[in-house]
Amino acid sequence: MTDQKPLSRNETLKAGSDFLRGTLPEALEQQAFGGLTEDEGQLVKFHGMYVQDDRDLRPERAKRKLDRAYSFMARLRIPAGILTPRQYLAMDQLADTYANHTLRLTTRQTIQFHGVIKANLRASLRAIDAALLDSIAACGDVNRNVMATSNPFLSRAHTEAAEAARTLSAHFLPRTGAWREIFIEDEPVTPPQPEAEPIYGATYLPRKFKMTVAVPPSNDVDVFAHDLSFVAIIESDRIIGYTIIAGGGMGATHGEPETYPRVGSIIGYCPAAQLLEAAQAVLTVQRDFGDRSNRKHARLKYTIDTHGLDWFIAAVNERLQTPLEPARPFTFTDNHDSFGWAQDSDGLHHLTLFIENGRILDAGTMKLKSALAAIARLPDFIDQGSIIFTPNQNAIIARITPAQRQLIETILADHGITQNFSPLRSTAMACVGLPTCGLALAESERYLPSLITKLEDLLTQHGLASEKITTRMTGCPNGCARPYIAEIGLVGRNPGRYNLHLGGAPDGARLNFIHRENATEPEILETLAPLFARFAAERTSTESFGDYCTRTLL
Amino acid sequence: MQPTLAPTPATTHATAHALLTRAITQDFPGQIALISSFGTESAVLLHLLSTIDRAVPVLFLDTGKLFPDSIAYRDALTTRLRLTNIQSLRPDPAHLRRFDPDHRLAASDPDLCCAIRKTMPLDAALTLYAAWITGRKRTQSDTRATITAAEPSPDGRTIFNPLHDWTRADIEHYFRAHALPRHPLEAEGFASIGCVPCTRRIMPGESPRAGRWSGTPKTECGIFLPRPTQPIQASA
Repeated sequence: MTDQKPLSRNETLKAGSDFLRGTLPEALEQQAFGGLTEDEGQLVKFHGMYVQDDRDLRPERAKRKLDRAYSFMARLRIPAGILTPRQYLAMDQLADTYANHTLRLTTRQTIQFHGVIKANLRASLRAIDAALLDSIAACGDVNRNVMATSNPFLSRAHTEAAEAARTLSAHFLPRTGAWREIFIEDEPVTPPQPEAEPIYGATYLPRKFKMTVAVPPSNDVDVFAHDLSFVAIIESDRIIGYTIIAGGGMGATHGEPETYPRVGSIIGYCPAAQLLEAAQAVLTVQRDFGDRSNRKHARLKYTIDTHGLDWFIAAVNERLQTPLEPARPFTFTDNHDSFGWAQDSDGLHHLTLFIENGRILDAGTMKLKSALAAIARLPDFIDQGSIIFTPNQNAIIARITPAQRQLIETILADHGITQNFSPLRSTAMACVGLPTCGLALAESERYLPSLITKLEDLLTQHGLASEKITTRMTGCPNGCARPYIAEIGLVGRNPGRYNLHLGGAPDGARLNFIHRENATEPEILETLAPLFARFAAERTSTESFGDYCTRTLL
Repeated sequence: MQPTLAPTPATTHATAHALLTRAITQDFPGQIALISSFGTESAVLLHLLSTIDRAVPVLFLDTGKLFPDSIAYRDALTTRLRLTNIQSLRPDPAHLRRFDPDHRLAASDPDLCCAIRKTMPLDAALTLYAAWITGRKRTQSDTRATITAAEPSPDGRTIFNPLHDWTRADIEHYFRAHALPRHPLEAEGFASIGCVPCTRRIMPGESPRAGRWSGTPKTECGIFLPRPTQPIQASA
């Protein structure tokens, strides 16, 4: 606000975009070019899409003087990650009709489609709209998909947390009609009616903004890694209020120490009825004081560190009818999913499935995509079941009648889906990375599974095969898989080389530290092998690997 | 051209809009709520509301036994119509523990099931209001054939039924005119949609509510009926 530095290019772009329209309508008609201009690419993010290209094909296409093989990534808005079986089936079909035959579950409880070509964008989004879903604000400088501790059917408090996520998502949804007008309706409304954005204003937020709602003792949503998190405080199975955490964020840039990951700070407590008011106070402080001149310094975490936490809390309280109360205590056990079967108070069953790196596809004899579609189509389940995406890129088949439990196990087995994964593998996450992500510096999703196999061997050698050690990999430092709070974090620097981070806490409450920079796979393994040996010999009885590394290496 | 006595859809819409506007802005400002099941025809009343006041409380009875498609439809309509005050009313967990411990109450005593899952949560919420708005229509069932635009509820509050005289054709016209999304189960043969255990698809020619509590004498969940004189005590 008091900043005299020139505004970043995106700020001018947003202001002049007529509420996120820009030249997108014309650009979609222009089929000779499969991509978008730089400015259009920035604007289309607000509508849930990124321009990408197949980076595997770049060298060959460049040699043949061809344009890049452009396609789009489209990401849905699914508060709390809950779909009906009918919605899931529509998305399963969309993946085959318009995308690359896979659904990619993300670390923020939603689906990404990859490989959608420009000519199919509108048809894809119409299929999404027809399924009562959308991709509004799934990317861009706005409040993104709102997460909640998974499975609303497990308790009343879980139901209320999911409802809070939906309420937050609806409240902070951009008011502009641009998404429907550009992508859904046959004839664009001309001239476009400018809408007021009562919360955001015409320039929206300085940068992305991420919210979560957590139900302790699970920290599956990783409350410390997002801009704004609400930790449910529960009495008699009801959420009475929330302890609020603000200013978390993972993104950083290699070699730029003024950019860094940060775990959120506890700023106070609000009663449940004050949820929207508190969220709006935090979001609008960031809207008004966030850095709009430097996008690498624009997240809420930098706003808080620039002005100080006390200033920030005072600024939030100034916008509230009743100031925040002192934070109430909570305890997290871990940030993982609970795999296998569970039962709810209605007598229905729930199956949490491990999905390696969130990729739902048919691969060889493992036909996960076909299996999930067959389950979604089951009579009874299609009417009363749900499919829920977890913050760890897994899926829950929810509300199964006792009579169908065996049938579902049979369907999975018939499609080659087993669930015999090591604790290391089933708690590991990788971002998408190459070949589609334009930011990737190294492999991620395509590489982590083979590295995990080698780490499993090492752990087995030291009698640690049953250890849960949170391991996360990203192909670049922006941190989509939240690697900076993992017990073992691997952040891509160059092809085949990673920064090795160690020492995150099992409950996700602590940043790890860089132990070795720019390491190759042999270097990673030769670093970890002696550490595993010492950990096995020296750990205190219940000490986690992350705690051990922090105690002994720092 | 032959003059016709039947109202055109446009005048039907205008009459309903005027009634709703008066109820919300003049008769009961700040003291009125709308109740919606987010069923197959609910989008009409909700759309009318969105053209008048998006902040009027919309009460939604989340019985815990609903089709997830109804929840998805609720969320999609809420964002499409920019409604800002959806309130999901849920049963008292103590009632569920006492009266439905084995999850079979819907089959063994559907009246009691509706009482603890719908009537009682609604009554508790309605204490804040002097009037409420419903989307009931005369054509829905014999029970509803005589409802009027405004009438006293069993507990003395005023009920507004802005769509009381709408026909199926009026509804259809309104859906098309405003490009409203359909409930996902409508294409599956459902006409009136309640809870999973007590709702079935209807056959061609059946009345829209024939799929509710099918095979039992029950035709209404009870939220529009006089309340029993002895309230249910969960702690007894």
